[in-house]
Amino acid sequence: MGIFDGVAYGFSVALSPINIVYCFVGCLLGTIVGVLPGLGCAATMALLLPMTFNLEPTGALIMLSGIYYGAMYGGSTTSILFRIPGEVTSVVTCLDGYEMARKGRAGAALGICAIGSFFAGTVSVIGLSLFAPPLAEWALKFGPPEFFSLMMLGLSLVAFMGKGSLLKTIMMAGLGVLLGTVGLDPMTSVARYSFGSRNLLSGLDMVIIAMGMFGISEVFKMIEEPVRMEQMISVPKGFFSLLPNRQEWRDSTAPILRGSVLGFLVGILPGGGGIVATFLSYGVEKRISKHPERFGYGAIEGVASPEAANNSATTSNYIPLLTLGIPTNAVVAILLGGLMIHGITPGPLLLKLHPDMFWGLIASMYIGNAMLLIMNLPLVGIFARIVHIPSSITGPLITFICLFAAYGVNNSAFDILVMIVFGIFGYLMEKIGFEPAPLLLAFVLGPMIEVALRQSLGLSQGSFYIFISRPISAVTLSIAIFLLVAPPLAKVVRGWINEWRR
Amino acid sequence: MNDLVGAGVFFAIGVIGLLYSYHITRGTISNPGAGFLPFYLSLILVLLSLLLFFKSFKFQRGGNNERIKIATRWKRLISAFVGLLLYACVIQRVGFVISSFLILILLLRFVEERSWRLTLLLSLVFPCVFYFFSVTYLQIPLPKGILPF
Repeated sequence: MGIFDGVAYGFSVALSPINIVYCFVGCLLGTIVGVLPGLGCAATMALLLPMTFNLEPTGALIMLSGIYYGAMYGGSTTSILFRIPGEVTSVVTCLDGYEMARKGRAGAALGICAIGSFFAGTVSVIGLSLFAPPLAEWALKFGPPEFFSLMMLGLSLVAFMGKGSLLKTIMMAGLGVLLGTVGLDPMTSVARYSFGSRNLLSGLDMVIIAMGMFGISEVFKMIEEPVRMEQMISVPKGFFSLLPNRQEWRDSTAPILRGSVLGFLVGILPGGGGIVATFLSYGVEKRISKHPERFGYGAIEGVASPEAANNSATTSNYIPLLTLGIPTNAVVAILLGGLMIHGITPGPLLLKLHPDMFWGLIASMYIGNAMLLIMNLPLVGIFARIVHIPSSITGPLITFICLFAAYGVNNSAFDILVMIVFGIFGYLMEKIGFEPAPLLLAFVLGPMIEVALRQSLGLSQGSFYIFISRPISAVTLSIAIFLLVAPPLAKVVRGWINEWRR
Repeated sequence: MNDLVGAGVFFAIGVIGLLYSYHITRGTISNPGAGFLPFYLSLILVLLSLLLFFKSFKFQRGGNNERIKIATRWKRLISAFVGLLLYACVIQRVGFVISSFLILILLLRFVEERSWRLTLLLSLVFPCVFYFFSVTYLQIPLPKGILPF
């Protein structure tokens, strides 16, 4: 099937009434979640997973994806109007977006966000439809050694995910891999870390850990410190106030283009997600701007480019997931978990075995982006009002839904206990500077890496030469090793240069 | 202080990991068994925690002594911790609707201090609606507990 046939086929799947409804529900929920500070994308998707068990998998995937990119739209709204990032990825938007709003250009900032996001999302979906099929075709030739090296690359990029210290990020990732070994060993069925409990024999559930560390621990944070409204900018009234003026258009066209391309490239890399893309594109815009002093005081470029990069990266995150079966960040890891529960293993075979799902999802992204643009421009006032629901009401209700959803995953009360324990653990660890995202991603990648390693060594009868003798594996593995060695190395080199200058 | 606690936690996790994977067949590096990854990973965690320990020690002697921020509302947090853990333990026996009703009252009224009217409304409506919805539509058999239906 060619790419155009594929996209056309995808539209025939995505345009079925029920899938349009799923897409709409996903986008709507995503926007709401994006607007609500405290309730993150990862938690929401983990929460909704058990409720999608009864849906057919394509519809479930379309809805969950809608939540993911919908949240990226919604996150910017609160950044601009309240200087509260609804999602971590819209932290950068606060800088110039809120300043624009204070100068009375809130409408233009919101408008350029929606338009830039729409443009970038669409560019990225086109890229996804062009690049994913050949990549999947190519990846069919991959064996365990290639997958081992690719996932090692993914794991080493996790080190760059965290905001905090490198050592702590690595420790959390190590713990994630260790937690992934709980249960029966996939190769020899020996029990590991089951502590004599029958419940632990089947291993820990990724969805449960995600709900605990991203949902419950967020609620604890809200109990500790209720979200406070800062001085609020009134929501611009009327559709035309959302349109940027001619000067603003001129200033933001090129940044949106650059942000889209940059975001797309960053999003393909394992470990690269919206956060990296937004900071990178803000930095680039500031560097190449003729008036860098305007940044931080309401420069429209500083809003347009990161927002575009964010949405572009969100979509290109799907490329490694759909073609290689490798998750690039915590949210995509949950999507992967959801697919596995439906009995579908994402990877090179997905396109061959489930073309309806592959192309249906891609087509639904075209539709979803258009829906979000239509939804976000006129309805921005309504979404902004959601923020006013106090966290003292949302917190308990989120907790309740978590409890409900956790029970639903395996119909077991033990899962609730695991979720609460991870919620408390995640909350306390984050308090002392250990972030949960590397743990979750390593938890998903760990078992896959272990199996690939042991299969490879089985193939080569115990020789590590197999990882170097195969070109793809050799290249990715050396990049992975380089990345792990690079940060300390860079520090050393910087030290030398400074000394030499003195 | 932060880092000392973190190092301690990871040290403990690593040691537990070592103890409980010691007896599993490790195999060799070219033919790893089931115990290979857990054992050596635990070892690495122990080493990393020692590294963090010494780093924070050096930092503290340099006069940079940051303390853990203790929440002003810590009593509420503890009651939420305990309440949720209890919930997980009793849900199978007491049932979903009743235990959810109680946990929502705890969270809304005693942790967040919302009005009794709102508390009772939300904690009655949400568990009942979700129970009905899941039993009829999602076919998740939530525990009935002591209620007859």
